[in-house]
Amino acid sequence: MGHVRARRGHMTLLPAGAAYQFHAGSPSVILLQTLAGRDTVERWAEICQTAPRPKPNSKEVTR
Amino acid sequence: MTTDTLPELGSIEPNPHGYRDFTLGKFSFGRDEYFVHVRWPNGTHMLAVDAFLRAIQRDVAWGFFYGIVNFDTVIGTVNHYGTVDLFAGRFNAQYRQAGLDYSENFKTDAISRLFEAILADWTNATFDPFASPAETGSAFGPKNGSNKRAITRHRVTAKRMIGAPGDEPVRTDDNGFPINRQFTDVTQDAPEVHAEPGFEDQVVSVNLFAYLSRSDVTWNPSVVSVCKNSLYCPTTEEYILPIIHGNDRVEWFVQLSDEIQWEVEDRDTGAVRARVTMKAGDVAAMPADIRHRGFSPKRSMLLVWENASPELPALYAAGKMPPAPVQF
Repeated sequence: MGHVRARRGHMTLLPAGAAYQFHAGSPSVILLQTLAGRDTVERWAEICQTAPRPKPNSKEVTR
Repeated sequence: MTTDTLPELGSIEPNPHGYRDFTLGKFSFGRDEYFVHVRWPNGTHMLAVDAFLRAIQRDVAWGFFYGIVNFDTVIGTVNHYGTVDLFAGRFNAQYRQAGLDYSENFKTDAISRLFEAILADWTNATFDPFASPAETGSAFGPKNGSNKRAITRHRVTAKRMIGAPGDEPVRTDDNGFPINRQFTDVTQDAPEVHAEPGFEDQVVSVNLFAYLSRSDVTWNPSVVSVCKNSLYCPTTEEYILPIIHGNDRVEWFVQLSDEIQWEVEDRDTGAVRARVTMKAGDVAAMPADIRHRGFSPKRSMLLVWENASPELPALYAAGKMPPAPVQF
């Protein structure tokens, strides 16, 4: 079907039903727009940061 | 109960400042040189006219968006996707406690026509509600012409992806989109596309950063690519988000350049929840039960990733889905 050389900030449409493979000469990042499916693995809880909840007696602890 | 009548599009005679007054149901709207005056059966409210016009411009352009569009902490709309609530004080704990809140439901077409009529009459020739404050003239003063071109811009809603054959075109100098003054450092190179014969309309690539660097509006998420109900809605931001968006679903934000600070509050009461500083490369998920407002010190690029699945608001409202996509 073809090939595309995309760089920083570029956006590419892959045809429905196509098989594709990515090659990167050096470490780089791509963001894939897709839908959750049977092969999806969600690991957000391991990756994401959140602020810890303050403890109810935290003021007393810091005194 | 839905008010089914079309809006009375306003007074025939202008007020002493040159502006018409408008009514919809039991709400009325008037403006003077600096302020908008909103009245409902048990209350009144004032908003700065520039902020009000920026807010209703987006509400109209976005088709009332997903969930709640607060113009400020008192006035706003709730989208029920076919009808719209216009409210005062409904998501303000103090107004609720004092019994000063009021809400009325209208057919979407009726409230759209009202806001479009207000925008047409109250937007002076010098003012562009979509532009950053540094790129527009004043909204204030007595009636001074109109700015139809600014308030009726085409809204980008790609069917597959911008730049694809038959879809929304990319932006260029020639079609009226020069590079913005704050994005002159954005590379304008094009990807290399080598489509085999017969696949030219399926293998497509564009420079999204270049596309965004040429946006002439701020805080206006526009659909650039579609994967069923997954919508990429990038936008360029500068100054303050003109509305406080109350979510009815999770929204993902990917900060593509520069920095935005977000104030995050409880959607229903306005109680402060968090302040989030996002720098280039940062990702955040705005929960389905909050409202948020962004502050962008210089023009920045933000990818808003929307899930347009129509069943989501009911699932969140019924507690069948947790409001945040990550459980810690």
